[in-house]
Amino acid sequence: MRASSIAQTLRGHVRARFDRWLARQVPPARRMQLTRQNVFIFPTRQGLMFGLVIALLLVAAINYQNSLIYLLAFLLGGMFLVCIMETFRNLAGMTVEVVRAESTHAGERVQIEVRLTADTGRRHYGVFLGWRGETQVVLDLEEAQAQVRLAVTAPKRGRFRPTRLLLESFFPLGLLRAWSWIDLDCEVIVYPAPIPGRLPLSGEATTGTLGYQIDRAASEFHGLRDYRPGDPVRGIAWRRYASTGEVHTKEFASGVGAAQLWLDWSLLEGLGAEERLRRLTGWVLVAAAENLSFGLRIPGAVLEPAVGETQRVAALTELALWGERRP
Amino acid sequence: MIIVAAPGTNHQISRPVLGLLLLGAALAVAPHILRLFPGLIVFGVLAVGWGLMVQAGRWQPPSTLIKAALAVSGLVAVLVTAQHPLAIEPMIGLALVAYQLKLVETTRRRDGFVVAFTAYFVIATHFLFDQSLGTALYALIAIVIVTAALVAQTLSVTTLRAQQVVVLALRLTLPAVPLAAVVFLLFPRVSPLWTVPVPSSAQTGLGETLRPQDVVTLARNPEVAFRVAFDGIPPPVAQRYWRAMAYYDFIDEEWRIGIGSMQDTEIVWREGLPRADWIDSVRPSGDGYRYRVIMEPTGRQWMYSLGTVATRRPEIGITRDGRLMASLPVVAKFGYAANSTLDVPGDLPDWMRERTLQLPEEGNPRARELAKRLRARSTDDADFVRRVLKFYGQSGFAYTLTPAAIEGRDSIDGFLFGKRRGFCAHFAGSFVFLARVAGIPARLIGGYLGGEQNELGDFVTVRQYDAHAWAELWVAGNWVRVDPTGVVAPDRIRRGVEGMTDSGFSAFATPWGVRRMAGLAVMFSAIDSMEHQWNQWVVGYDAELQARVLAGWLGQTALRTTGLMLIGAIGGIFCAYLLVVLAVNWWRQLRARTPIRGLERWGAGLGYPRRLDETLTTYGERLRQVAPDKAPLIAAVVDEACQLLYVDTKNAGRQRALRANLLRLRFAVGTGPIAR
Repeated sequence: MRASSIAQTLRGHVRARFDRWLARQVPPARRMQLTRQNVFIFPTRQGLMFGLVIALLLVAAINYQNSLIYLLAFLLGGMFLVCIMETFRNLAGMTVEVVRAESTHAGERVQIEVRLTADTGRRHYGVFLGWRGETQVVLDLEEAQAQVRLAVTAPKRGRFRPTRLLLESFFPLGLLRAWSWIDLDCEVIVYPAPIPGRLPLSGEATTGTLGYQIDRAASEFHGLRDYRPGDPVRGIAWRRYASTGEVHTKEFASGVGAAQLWLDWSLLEGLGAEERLRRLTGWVLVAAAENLSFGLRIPGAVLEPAVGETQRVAALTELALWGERRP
Repeated sequence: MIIVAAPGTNHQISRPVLGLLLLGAALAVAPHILRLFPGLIVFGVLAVGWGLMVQAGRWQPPSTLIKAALAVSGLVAVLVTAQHPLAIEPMIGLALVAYQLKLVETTRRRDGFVVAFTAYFVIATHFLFDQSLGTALYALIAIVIVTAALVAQTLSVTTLRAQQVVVLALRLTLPAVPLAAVVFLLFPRVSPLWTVPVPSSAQTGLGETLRPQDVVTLARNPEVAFRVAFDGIPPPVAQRYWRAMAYYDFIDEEWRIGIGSMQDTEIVWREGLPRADWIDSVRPSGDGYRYRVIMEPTGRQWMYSLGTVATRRPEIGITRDGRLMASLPVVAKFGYAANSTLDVPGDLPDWMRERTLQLPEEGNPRARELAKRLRARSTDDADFVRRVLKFYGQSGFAYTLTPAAIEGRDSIDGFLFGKRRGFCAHFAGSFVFLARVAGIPARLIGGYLGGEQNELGDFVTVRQYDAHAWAELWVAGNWVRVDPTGVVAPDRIRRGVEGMTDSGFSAFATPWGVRRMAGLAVMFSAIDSMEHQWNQWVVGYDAELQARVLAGWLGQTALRTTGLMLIGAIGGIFCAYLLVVLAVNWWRQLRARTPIRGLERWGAGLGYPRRLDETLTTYGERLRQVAPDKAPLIAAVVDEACQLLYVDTKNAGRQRALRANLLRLRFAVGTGPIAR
């Protein structure tokens, strides 16, 4: 028990030291070229087995005084040496950069799009990529560029930086492993995990009545704006699209002048802070989906009522980062 | 473009990989099966087929019961076929059975490595049986295929093309060849660490009993017995008596080497036993012919030498009658250097006098009577020999390789006084018999005579049909060689067996008939020469030759120096390889960066250097905002640079256009950049 805990402490210590060393050796960057500084290489278990095969052949060659077995042993040895270079070069000379990282809710998977570029025009084979602790993908980089989506689970709301990205390759023979732990400097805002719930209508919310129906006919058509990713499909002006080929979103000024929808922290009296944030997130999602104009009031931040994608992102970001800027 | 990448946690072997792997394994196993256990073909086909079916998902992997049954049947098949259960062949056979069973259940990558590594090892075992150039090339092909299977394993499954994978494997194998060659040249050769079982099958050439029918078989056999390269001029054909066997006992009308003829005390090894006092009698006096023999495997211990011979190899001993003897049966090509004078070696201790005068109590009365008659007339031993040879020359003897069979008792009488047609074994055998009757110590020597000079290479090829037998007699305190065949068929001696026109064979039926046809002769010479070079410099490259080669280059060197050189050479080659790789890399990078650099320099000139984290496109956008009047030019440059970098890297037209645009960018008049 004691010994194992000591071992654990030791392991933790070593791990921490390694991380510190790695941080110096491979500092974070948005764009990272794999070079001698950040690519490591070591034989795999199969590589050691291969060494054993060569040793056996050598013993056979000596005992049988057989020149061709000597030659074969040396040929395999030579191949191993060539492998060292090839394995290293298969990973080095590539540039990795983050193209895009999409925000998501806590507990869901953040999709981070990574671009690999072959700097020297060389092909790179069998490159395994994955965040630390996540499943890996493998690809052969036969063109000069490739983009790949790597998912990582976002544990909690707030600013999220993925762990180091592991790139590794066993090409060409699987005898050696070249790998690099790179720290891609990308930050994603992770919104709170929503708790679904009905919207509180202003006024009614204080009484606790949670009945709410949106009268679509009552909401006024306000105008068209350019489509932005994330807009609900049913909001798209299809007729306009058919005539011009451009995608626009219909904007409705719903509830203008009528009941103001305030998503207010104080409506959720009695709940814990995180719980409140999650419920508020749920409301923001519903309101945005219904294309309602809404305002957000949480301690330290107030968003005036508005409609649309910008408002949604702004509200979710406030909720995600709540607490960070609290005085 | 987003690549849909395959999940990386796939430990299964994909079908193309398995295909390559099974092909490699089959190539590795096939020659063994054909050579040793043809019955195992069924087994192999079954195993490979089953493996493929399992992979295809059609069949189940065999159950334990079936596997056990297969294993037992394979075991039985091997043991039934094998002649010596403890020799190396059954061991290999059993390994093959196990290996093929493994093929059936190769489903994961881990198995893939085991199969591939074992294949390398199986390929190596072929060299125990055959080290010819052809086998080496075959092995190289098999190695490339097995390597290709390993390469395929490391690739993502979605992009696998057999041809490409083989090219990748070649890119690994070929650079390793010079590396292997240098290490091969310099790696210190040490003596065997322990004794190992050796292949027992191959036994060709002369046997322990000299039977006339064996000689006839040999006379039809064009296989190479050994090749010799002489330093300087070789002795004339008629002087090249290659001694191999000495037959002392004439028992039951057959010449045998005799049991215990060469006890350990009668063989001197270079190391080990104390020096014998008779060693000087088998040592050449002064410089003779220096040569290097590369013998084909015989499965026996005797070796070939001319006259009185000396060699420095520790594993070659010299017998009391001056022949070379290997410490173990020669089961692989074996090379040794020797020097010889042409006189016959040996002395005559009591036991040898007894043995060389031994005759059966009775039999061949007419021959005995003839010997006694000639003995009575002759003045001394030499005169007796002359008289006997005269008898052979004048009594209507004829040389033929297809004599009428002489059966039963009194075979020597039958030859001397019957048909009088025969070949070397008959002449020499009867001659030794007559000499022994006359009280002259005599022994029958079996070996080879002559050999064919290769026109392209500086060496002599001795084939099985050059097999010959002659007599050695103790005359006046020395052993002398007497070859009665020469009296009857001088052409056999002077020009070799190929020079014989009357042999009872028609021109094309002889093994050398085809070889002598115009046109083909050159081809055969070339092939033989190539094989010889291979044997001499690769197969026969041993400690002795290594010392000679290295001494030739650098003077005498100690083992440690060799070791240091070895390390140095490996390091040197590796460094050279590294340098080449780095240079290529550097050049490629330089070329790849040229289009970007022009733009970067221009931008830096404006006071807007490219930031480290900027891609070319984003940098271009920034520059466009900085210098809006040149926005289209910048866009064009960026677009072309991207095309050149990532899409078609070698388009010369695009390169020209890019350069022109860069020039325009630098010199065109514009409103200038917006101040920072």
